[in-house]
Amino acid sequence: MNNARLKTAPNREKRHATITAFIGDSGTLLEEYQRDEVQQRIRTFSQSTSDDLVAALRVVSRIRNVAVIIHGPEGCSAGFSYLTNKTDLKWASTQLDERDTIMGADEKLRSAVATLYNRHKPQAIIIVATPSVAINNDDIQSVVDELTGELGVPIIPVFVSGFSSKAGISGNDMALHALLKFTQGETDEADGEFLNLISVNELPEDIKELQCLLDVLKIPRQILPDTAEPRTFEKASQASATVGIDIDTAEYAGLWLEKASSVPWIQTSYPAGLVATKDWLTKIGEHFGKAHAARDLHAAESVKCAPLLSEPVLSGKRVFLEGSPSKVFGLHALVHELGGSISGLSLTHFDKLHLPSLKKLVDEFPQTPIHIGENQAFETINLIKRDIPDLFIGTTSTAVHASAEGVPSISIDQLAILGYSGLSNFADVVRKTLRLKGFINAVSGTVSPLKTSWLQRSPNWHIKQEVK
Amino acid sequence: MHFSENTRNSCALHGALGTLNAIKGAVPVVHATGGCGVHYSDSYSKEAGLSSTDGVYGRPLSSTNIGEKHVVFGGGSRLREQLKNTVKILDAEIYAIVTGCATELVGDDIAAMAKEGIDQGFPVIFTNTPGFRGTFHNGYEKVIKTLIADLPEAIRKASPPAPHNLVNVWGIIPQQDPFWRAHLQEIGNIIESLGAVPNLFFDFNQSIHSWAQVGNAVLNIAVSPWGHKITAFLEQTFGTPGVFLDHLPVGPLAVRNLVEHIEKKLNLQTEGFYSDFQKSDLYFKTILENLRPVYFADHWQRTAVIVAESSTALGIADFIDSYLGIEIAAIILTDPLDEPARNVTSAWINSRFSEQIPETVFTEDRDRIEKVLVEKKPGIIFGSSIESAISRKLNAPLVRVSFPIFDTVIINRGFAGISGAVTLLEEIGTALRR
Repeated sequence: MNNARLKTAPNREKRHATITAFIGDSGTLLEEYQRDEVQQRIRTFSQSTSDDLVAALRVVSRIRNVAVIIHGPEGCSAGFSYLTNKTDLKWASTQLDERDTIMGADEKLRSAVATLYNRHKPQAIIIVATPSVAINNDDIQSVVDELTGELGVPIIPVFVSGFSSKAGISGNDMALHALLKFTQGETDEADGEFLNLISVNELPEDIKELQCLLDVLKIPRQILPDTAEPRTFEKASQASATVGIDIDTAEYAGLWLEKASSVPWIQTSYPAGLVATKDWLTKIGEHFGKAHAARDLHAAESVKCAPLLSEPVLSGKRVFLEGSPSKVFGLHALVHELGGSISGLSLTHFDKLHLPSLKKLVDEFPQTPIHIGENQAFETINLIKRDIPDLFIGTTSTAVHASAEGVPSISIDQLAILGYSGLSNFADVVRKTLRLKGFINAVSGTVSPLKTSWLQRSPNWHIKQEVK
Repeated sequence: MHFSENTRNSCALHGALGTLNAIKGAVPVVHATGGCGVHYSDSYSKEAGLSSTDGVYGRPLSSTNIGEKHVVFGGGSRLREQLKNTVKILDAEIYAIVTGCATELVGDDIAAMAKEGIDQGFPVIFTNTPGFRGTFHNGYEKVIKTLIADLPEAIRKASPPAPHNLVNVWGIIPQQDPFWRAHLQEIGNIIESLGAVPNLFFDFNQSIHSWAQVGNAVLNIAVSPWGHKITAFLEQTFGTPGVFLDHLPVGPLAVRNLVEHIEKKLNLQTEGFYSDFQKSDLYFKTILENLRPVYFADHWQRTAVIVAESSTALGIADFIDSYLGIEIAAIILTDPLDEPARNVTSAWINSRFSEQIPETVFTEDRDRIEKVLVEKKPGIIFGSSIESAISRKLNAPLVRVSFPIFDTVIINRGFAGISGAVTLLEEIGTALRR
């Protein structure tokens, strides 16, 4: 795969047989993939769900020394101030109105690019498309071609549409595709070997932990796209290797760099829990001739974590997990190490990238209930109510529902879980959540907005085979 | 200007969602790409001071999440399916179809789908709210007009008769005003103190029946330009008199001013109000007296710049001039007022501050706003969380008063009325002490 010539990344359905709608057990899901008979299902009722635009905006939100233009009506940029408030990214919306959707908005875009460049002199300008310009086929490319020469900085178009894929995560690849494609060029010789660490919208505490570990191993690295600048992308082709944190967000860039620039892509586990963190460190260590140091570091850190494992906080507890597949399988490892078991999983999507994790789960528990669908709380809650867990760990929005059922709940949205410090942080949060139930008791029993008749129906009622 | 940095006014679809989610018993059905609802939830659950309406987190957001197939072949049947199933899953007294840009550009026949729902006996209304046809504010206006004009007959019939002396309150936009709950309640309290009954429409103690009673009110009060069109519409439709204010009443003088406006339109027994008002006025004076050590020690008499939606901006400007002797160097209005509304706003500022007229700027563009702030070198900024970066840079304390507010939790406070003015004093004092 060398996608450099493509306008944008192919969607996940095509690349990895990604699915976004399924309810069943882990064994059935695995069988579908092993037989290569993956069924694309759809919902006849759905809640709003991330599309490629939402995912692309997350990718570009923490890049430094660039300016971002969200080319569309103003609502497409709602929430971007919050997403970028820690980074002080310069960004603007072209605020398209009805006339623009009829007459075209190339001129507005051209003027926005020039004005934003003159105001802030960014090292690159990223243009993110939106449903309106995608449907009207607005000519973004000619603005890019024309102004790149004139302004002398890369202008990077991200061709998302809001409807290119059922899996929002496709937008992650589309944004990385654009960033890697348009920053190719002459770069200074890199001094010495270093690692590309792909991090998309990860928590600063998690990144800090992984950085500290790589510091101990004395492995120089650069992080992208979080906190990267245009030069970081240019330099990426000279790295000794690329590693990700979360395969869902990192794989596209990792493979791109391997194919286009022969930078090896190190496939590792999501570094949550002792076993997976060891895998992450050792594989990186091996690549840099520091396998011994990695093992020593793991041994030393494991000793520190030993008390957490000798009296595991989740002993005898059943946990329901919800989130992106990388995160959920990572949390699964954490729960396992802390003595707990799984009552069910809800994944934003599933695809071939996670077959090894699924296989491991099936080997141990072939009947684990699995729900696939992002932000489809009506199904998740239906599932949870059938088999009330001792603990819910997932997104804030579903935690709100789970708490109404009286289930102690933890939001993963701001929860550091990576590496050794992540393990101890996770154990501490779990301990408090299970012990201190004041808030949960106070809010449990909230009237559900979901009809009782729905909650009595099979949770997969609205998932149907797609008719092409 | 062809664009703005760090935009604050979102789109009509989001405004419709914010408005519908604040109405108990209303469930929106979004016909749009999946991300439209996510952008709304991401923004208004985190940027409105966490003053999210029940719907942002608590209630699943029904959405058709249209894909490529629907863009090419039309998404009408997908909407039919979604509507049919929404009524089976989500409990509601009214279902409101709202649309995004993609489905409007494709040209899906929303009216036909809504009619099908109505023919099946479901309480369905619809309104076209593509983002390219307006901001959050316009979405608020559109949904309100639709609710008034198209409220299903069954709801009207089931509604109790309107109470005597019912007063409708317009112009406080849920979520776009992060302090909307307290602001509505405070206006409601003032109306109640006059022996009338406020019709607030949103949140606590309100229901879908509040909408059936709109035409039976004796008065409509608009407390921002975003309530003017609705108030005028009701004047024409039902002949109900209207009070057209441009801003929130902040502090005793403004409260009395509002009451005088109401008195001019209605014949009410207001003696009780005035005796209570005297007590409140005295109470407020005592607070100011007690404030003196802080006021003098922290040099409250500074130059201010206000960056806010017009209703909040003018309300605060009026108060800090009347009661605190704070100089106002510039007022930056961030809501997208049309030309006539801008003229009215400018005229109010020019006459209210005739001795030293603050520079008046209409923009939501962060760069332009920051340039004004750098030029004016204020000693205090009233603004949004977006101004926190420049506030640190200029070493000018920031009081968060306007959308977006993502670094402060707002549960039930605001700046309207006398109690709101006390809150504002606390906010100013705290900002200056930090």
